[in-house]
Amino acid sequence: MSAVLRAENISYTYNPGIPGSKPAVDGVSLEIGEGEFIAVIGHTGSGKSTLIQHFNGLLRPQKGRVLFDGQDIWAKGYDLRALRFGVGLVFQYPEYQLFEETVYKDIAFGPTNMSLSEQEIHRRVLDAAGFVGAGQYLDSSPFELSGGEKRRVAIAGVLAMEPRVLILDEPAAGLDPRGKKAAFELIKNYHESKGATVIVVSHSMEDVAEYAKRVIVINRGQVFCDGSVPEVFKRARELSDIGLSIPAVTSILLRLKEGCPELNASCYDITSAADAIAAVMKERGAALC
Amino acid sequence: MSNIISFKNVLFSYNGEQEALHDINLNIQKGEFVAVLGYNGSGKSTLAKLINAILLPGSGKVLVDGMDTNDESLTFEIRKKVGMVFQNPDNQIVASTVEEDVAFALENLGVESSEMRRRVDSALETVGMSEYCNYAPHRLSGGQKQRVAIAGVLAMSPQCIVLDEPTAMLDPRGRKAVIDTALSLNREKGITIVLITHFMDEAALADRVVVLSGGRIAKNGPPREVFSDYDGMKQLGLGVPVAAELAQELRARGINLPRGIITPDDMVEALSPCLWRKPDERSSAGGEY
Repeated sequence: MSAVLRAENISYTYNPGIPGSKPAVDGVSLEIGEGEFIAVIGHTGSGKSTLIQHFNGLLRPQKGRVLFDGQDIWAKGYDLRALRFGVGLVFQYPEYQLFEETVYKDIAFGPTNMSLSEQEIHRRVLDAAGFVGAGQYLDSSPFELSGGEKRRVAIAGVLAMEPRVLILDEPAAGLDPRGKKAAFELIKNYHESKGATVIVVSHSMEDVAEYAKRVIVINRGQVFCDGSVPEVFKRARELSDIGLSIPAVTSILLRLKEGCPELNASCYDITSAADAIAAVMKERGAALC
Repeated sequence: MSNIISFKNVLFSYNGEQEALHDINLNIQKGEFVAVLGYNGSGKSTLAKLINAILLPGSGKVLVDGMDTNDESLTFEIRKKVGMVFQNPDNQIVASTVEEDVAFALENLGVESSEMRRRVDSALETVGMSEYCNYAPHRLSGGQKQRVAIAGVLAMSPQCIVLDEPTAMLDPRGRKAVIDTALSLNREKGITIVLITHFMDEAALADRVVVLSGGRIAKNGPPREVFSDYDGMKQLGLGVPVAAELAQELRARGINLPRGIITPDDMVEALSPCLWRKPDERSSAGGEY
């Protein structure tokens, strides 16, 4: 797998002159492979958002380099537009950035700035609207939509630029369970159908376990650990020490395992947890409690 | 017990056409902890804003400790009785230090300074933020900011606090701290809590769950009862707590579990008798059965 994005020992401090200011990102090196689905977790203030803003050139590292397709994005003569079209960033609560009269125009805003043909812009708007299920209200005002719909239209505005790397900062915060699922499913569809790289910042360990393949844990501006979902969540105690948690269902399994060592507690979603419990029950011949 | 909040045939509409709330009848007793659930756009926040007269009913009445919110001369008294905490901590902190922020409303009320000192100290202590009293709010984490917002409301000695998705933007530790604070205010100080949330596991801790759908009350009962209706909750676009979801999956695998499992404690209690005993121990301990 080739690296589409690479951070080489990057550091960033807000207000560097002020006494007592600590780096928000402190010597981070990371390699993001083409086509990966990565979750970034960390408590509030750990530096996650600062880190991801380096990936599309919104912040310039004070130390270190950021490379996109092997090229230093802050090198002289590098066209940052290429980076920004290639790496789409969806902020927290992106619906606050909706501004156009119609959903269609709002989604078209990004591709229009890319100097594409009318025809291509049209295709992209329809395509992106299709991904988020907004096809039927393209002529409505985005402000008439529900919270979940607005959120998805705002995400469509970034998808319409067809970024190879899609970065989302808490895409499901504040959505109801159905809206949350819809948001994650559309991200997954985009990832699978376009082969796009996805980086999601999330506070929901359940969503992380369900959708991501790799988890990067950020603490105090540094990479605390980086691995597959099981590799990261098996460090339950350390995660709790830095203000994070493991999926709730895994905590239940760990409590049950205290009296039942053969129970497989390395399950991070409800279905596999139920399978693990059922397997032990079957072995015991205990169908009834 | 007497009602602190009472909705009597309340209708509300933002634009005069579509009703956000239809004919709501709801009583909340003094000292209750009530969770309000519903998909985005179901009317939850409208309901919250009607409680302390930010919105007034189109028809019907909202009574707060017997005071009609339609009577403008009572608005001030009503807002002293019912404090509100909103979703985004950054939108509700106004001062440059934590203690000034907590004192903000008291200053506006012209509370005498020694009394103000006492109330601010006590409110910060209650939410566990005393040691941060001289901090600048922007240096706090999201969960800490929300606790400061709660302290600001507490300083007014309200009888009831309405929290509108206070944990939507928080990390797991922040979420737990805010919910623990709400629980202890309820259990130890007898303050009535109305918690609007999308997290089913938070709602499971309440005395009562009210579910809104399309501006009407779809369910109203103890969490064990409400969350036992798995299919019904899914149809309402919601979910059930993780433990209830796991119980549902286990029942589908032929494991008989008692009804009303909604918390991890319930699940461990139900499963440990059959999981925590090896078959050989079971036969030797057979006399107990």
